[in-house]
Amino acid sequence: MAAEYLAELTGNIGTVGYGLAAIGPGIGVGIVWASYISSTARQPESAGLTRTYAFLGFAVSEALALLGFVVPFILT
Amino acid sequence: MSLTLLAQGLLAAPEGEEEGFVAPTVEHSFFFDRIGDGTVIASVKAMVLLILGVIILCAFFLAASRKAAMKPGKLQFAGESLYGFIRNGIAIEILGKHGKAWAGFLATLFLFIFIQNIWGIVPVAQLPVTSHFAIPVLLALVVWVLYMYVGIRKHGFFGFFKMMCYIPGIPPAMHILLIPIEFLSNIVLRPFTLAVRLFANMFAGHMLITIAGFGAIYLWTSGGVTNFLLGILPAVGGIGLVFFELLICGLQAYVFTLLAAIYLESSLADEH
Repeated sequence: MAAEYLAELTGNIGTVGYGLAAIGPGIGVGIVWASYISSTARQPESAGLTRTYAFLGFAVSEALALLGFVVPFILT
Repeated sequence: MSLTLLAQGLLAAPEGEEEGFVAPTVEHSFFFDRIGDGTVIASVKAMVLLILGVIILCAFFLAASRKAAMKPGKLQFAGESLYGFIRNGIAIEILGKHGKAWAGFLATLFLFIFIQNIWGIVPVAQLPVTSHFAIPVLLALVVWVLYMYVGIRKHGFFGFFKMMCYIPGIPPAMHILLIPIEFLSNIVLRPFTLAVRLFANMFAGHMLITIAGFGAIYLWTSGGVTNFLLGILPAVGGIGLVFFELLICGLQAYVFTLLAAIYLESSLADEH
């Protein structure tokens, strides 16, 4: 019996791969800013002190998603 | 019924293979131009914008600092605010007593990246120069060479690498694992992520706006009232994305400068 297709998908499986690659950094960046907001709410005068670390943590966790973004350009 | 129409509109006219929506490709105006016989040259538009941005930056600061007065005029105030933002917010806050010496470099870095990012949302120009990989790579290399040079000058060649790779006060066996990791993350990956972050953000933002624009134009030119009404969605979304890009332009310039300052600080720091 021939297989019957309900729908056909075209495109590149790499898009799914990037979606998977973005999960972790998404959660990570969310945690970084959530912690920054809650620490600022608890102690407003520490905002300037912790901003540097917030941006540093943001940049480092975001890097993984960006690596996923540029991999197709490197591999092709 | 309306849902079907919506789906048809969003799937962009499945009937007629050749006539369907053609997504903008990466090559549409990126990276390189092709001249007559297919020879690849650097993108002329990007180079023109690059030079133009530098000229605007120089002209603005020359004009702002020309008639420096105790009671600053509007232009002088704008120039000093921009410089002061980096000097106080990044240079002195992170580099401490070295801050004033590095403020000029960091402010230049920030404003250069910012203006090259902003080209992406300036009407007519619409191409962020930093979405060409060479520009972020060059900037990251400048930062890398600087913090290596500064660190080696202060701590000596072996002292610097020891500071970068060696974490004191951990069990000796762990060094087998940690020294390569620290070397990789502090010496190799730092400039790489610095360049890739700026490039990927500007590139992705530019592609988003382009796709929104292409989609709107495609729907509007494909005829029919439904398609016309549906075309409003990507058009409005595209305008929203432009304002989002404004945020990203400032943020990425800030993050790049901040990380450059943090790397310089890690080289200038006293040994731990």
